[in-house]
Amino acid sequence: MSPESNGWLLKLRGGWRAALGLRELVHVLPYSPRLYPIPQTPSHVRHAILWEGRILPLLDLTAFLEASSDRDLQPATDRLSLDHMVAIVAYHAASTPEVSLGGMLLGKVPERIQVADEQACALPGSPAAWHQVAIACFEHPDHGAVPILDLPRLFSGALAAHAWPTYDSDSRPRPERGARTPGLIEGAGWQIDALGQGAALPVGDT
Amino acid sequence: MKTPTSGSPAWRSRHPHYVALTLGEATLAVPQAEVHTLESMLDLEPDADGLRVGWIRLHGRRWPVFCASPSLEPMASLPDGRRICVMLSAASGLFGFACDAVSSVDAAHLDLVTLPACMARPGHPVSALARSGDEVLCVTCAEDLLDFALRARPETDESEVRRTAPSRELQ
Repeated sequence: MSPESNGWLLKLRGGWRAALGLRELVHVLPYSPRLYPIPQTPSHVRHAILWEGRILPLLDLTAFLEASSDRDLQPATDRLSLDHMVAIVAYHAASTPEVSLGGMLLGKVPERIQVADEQACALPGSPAAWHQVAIACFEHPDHGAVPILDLPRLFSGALAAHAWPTYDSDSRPRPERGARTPGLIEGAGWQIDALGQGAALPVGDT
Repeated sequence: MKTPTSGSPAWRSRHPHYVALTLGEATLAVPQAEVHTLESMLDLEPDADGLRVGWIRLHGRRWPVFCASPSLEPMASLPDGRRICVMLSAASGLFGFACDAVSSVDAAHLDLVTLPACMARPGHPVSALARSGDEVLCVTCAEDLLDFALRARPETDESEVRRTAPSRELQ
C-alpha cells in the first residue's frame, strides 16, 4: 500500500467538494471579512479582501463552476450572506518565485483528510470546468470523486480567459488531467514556515 | 496611458496625491493632477444617451458627463446620492464622472499592488488596487476611464468628445 498524503477537503457553497494540499491552506478566517467590490472583474473574482494588511483577490469557485456549467455568468458572489466563510490559501504563481496568497470562499469548515494513491480516479465529467481548475482527483469514501485544485492556475489569468472569450489564453503548460496520483496533494515542494499559525508570510504583490 | 503600479517611490513621486471617487460600494482613485474641477450635479444638462447622462457647461463649452454603477456598468440615469460631478482632464478634453463622494488621499498613505492576474484583462480600467486604512481603492486614471466609457458604449460618437478638446478655451 502506498503512503498517504495529507490534505484538506474543502466544502464549497452549493455542495461542491474540492481538495487542497496540506500546506496550501494557510488560514480559515474566524470572521466574515469585508468584501470590496472590484469593477469589471469575472463573476468568480468580483471582490478583494484585506488580510493582515494585504489586499487579496477573493475567489468563488462555486461561481466559476456554476457559470461554466450553463455558460451564464451570474454574479454569484452578489448572493453572499453576511456570514460567508473565507480561507486564505497560498500558492506559487509562475510570475514570481515568492509565495502568493489569495482568498477562497467556503461553505463550511474544511476537513483534514488523508489520501492514498490507490484512490486516484478520473475527474468528474460535469461540470467540464473541473478540467480547468484541477490537477488530479481521488475517490472519497463519502463524497465520491473529489478534484484536487490547481491553485496557481485558479489565481492566474487563465480563468479570466474563460470568462472573457476575447482574452488571450494562458500559454502555461498544463498538467495531464485526471491521470496524476493524489500524491500531488502534499503541495508543490515549497514550504511555509508558519503554516497554520496565521503568521505573516513572505509574499510579494498579488 | 497606464498609471505606474509598482508602488515604488518613483510612482509616488509622480502622483503624490490621489482623489478617491466613491461610486456606491466601490471607490476609484485617480491622480489629483487629473482632476480639473468639482461641479454640482444640479448643473447637469440632462441628455441621457447610454452611459452619458448629460452635459456640464464649463469654460464656455459643454462637456459630457458619464455615470457608472459600482461595477462600472453604464447607467442611463443618476442613482440617488450622485451629487458630485468630478471633471477629469484627459488628453482629448474634459469629461465629467458622477460620484457619491470625493476625497483627497495622500499617496504616501497608499499601499499599492497591481491588479491580481485573476482579475485583470486587457483594457481593464483599473490598473492597481490600493489600501488606504481599512479601505481598498481601485486605481485608475482619467484617460483609462474615458477610454473605457467610450468602449462600454460603442455607439458613442467619440469624435463628439474629441471635438470638445479644451485646449483652445483654456489657453
